[in-house]
Amino acid sequence: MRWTSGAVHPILSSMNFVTALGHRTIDRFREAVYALGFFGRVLTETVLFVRRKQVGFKVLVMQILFTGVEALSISAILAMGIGAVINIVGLSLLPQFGQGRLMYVILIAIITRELGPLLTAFIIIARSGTAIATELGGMVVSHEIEAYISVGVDPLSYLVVPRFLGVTVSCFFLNIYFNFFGLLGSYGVLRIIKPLPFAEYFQGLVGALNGIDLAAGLVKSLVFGVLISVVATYQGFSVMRATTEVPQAGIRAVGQSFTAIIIADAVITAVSYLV
Amino acid sequence: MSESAIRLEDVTVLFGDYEVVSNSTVSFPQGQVSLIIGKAGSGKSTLLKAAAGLVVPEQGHVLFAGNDLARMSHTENMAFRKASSFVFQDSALWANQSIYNNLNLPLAVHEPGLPKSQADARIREVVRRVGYNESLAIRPAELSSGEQKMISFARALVLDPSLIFLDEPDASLDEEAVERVLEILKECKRAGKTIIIVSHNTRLIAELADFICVVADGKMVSSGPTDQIAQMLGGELLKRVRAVHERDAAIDAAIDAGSGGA
Repeated sequence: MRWTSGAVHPILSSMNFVTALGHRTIDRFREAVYALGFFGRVLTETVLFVRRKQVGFKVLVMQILFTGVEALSISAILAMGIGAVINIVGLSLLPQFGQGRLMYVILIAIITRELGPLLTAFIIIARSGTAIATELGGMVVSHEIEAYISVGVDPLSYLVVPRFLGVTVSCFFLNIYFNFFGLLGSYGVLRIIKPLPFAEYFQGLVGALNGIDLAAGLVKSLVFGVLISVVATYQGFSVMRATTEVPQAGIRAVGQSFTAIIIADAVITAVSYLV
Repeated sequence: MSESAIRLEDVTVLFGDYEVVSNSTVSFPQGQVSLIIGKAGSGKSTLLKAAAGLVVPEQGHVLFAGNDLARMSHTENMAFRKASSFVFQDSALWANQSIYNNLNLPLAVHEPGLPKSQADARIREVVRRVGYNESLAIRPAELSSGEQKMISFARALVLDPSLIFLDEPDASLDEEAVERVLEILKECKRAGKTIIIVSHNTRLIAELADFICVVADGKMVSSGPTDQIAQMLGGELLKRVRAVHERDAAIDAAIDAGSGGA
């Protein structure tokens, strides 16, 4: 094929592609460094927040109320439902293979180690992750963030740290609450379908429970809380000027939070089974 | 030439790859009213925000009392924030807080030990000055844009700062409110405060300005005393400035005549 002066030479075209790829890689790397710096500043400001008497304490209380307390009912319903389903399936299938006692091990593994932290995180992403990202994004657009800076309030200290602490603390306790309802609350549902003495059920659970299960679940809930809050606040602050950027920030916060917690879940699960 | 309150040295501000302010150098005189004028989109507001430390320049320095805003320690920065305030074009009140909290937060940050009774008295005083008579318990969304602007103005006055930045202070205000703002700014001027304003309003410029900066396409075109810049620009601004001078001269003459007869 003859190359005409009006067309882009194939070598130049591939050079452009490589250049674009290079620029994109550099941008992504810079963004990652910036995000790490943001996380580092959040941690530093968290220490200072705890030490100083902060005006942001009320924001922290409100965040715990919104993320933790107001999510209690949906968590309870979800936990009891999931727990009951695992109970019913386990009690129906496992005795057929002579492995009825395994039901408790499976229940603990699924609720305490996996579904408890994961579903709690999902609830928090759906409710608080989106709310935080869009609220902060809206505040950027309406210049409220600049207004905070103008009166000497560090937005990171006043807006991010209370949300970071509030979401992390709420995620931790909501996970414990989820476990309680998933393991014990579901017994009430189970009884309607299959009569089982509570003492037998409870002893079965306690017998199957071990320290690693508990620790893995609690560590996951803490890590998930950190990831959701940092991603949501970071995305909220990524909004520049237009209101159309606000829902986009919400969508990115949800997507990135899901990805981050699934990766973290896999890593923590792998480590906990290796220990 | 009087001492400068804020000095911008070779300041360049970028939004992405777009240069909003280019290599601008200007000194805003202490205790005077400076006006930044220019066409819409010329970079006036960004220049004002750079001077107030709300936008970090890509290049150059913003100096307050000789200290670079970008290199200030936490204590120095807090002192600067206490001594300065900013009135935003679109009010920028905190939507999720009551009017009372909007006015109280600067006090809570800079004067944490202030008794509630004194804080309440300060808040009552500033809302009286701006002519706000509604409840303090309501949220900004329940107010008209003009009322929000006046509350934003009150928030800027609550700490009695020595340096006030105003971005289009007369935007979204009716005639009566503009008069009130003008009166308050004149009081602030008499009190020796440094005021830096972005405005298109020739009347505001003629009535208040001691110093004018002209910005075009992100560049500082010229700056200097009001008379000099008005002569240079001519037109409506020059007429207004002359009218204000004639009126002030007439008032002075009347005062002199009155005191002579007493």
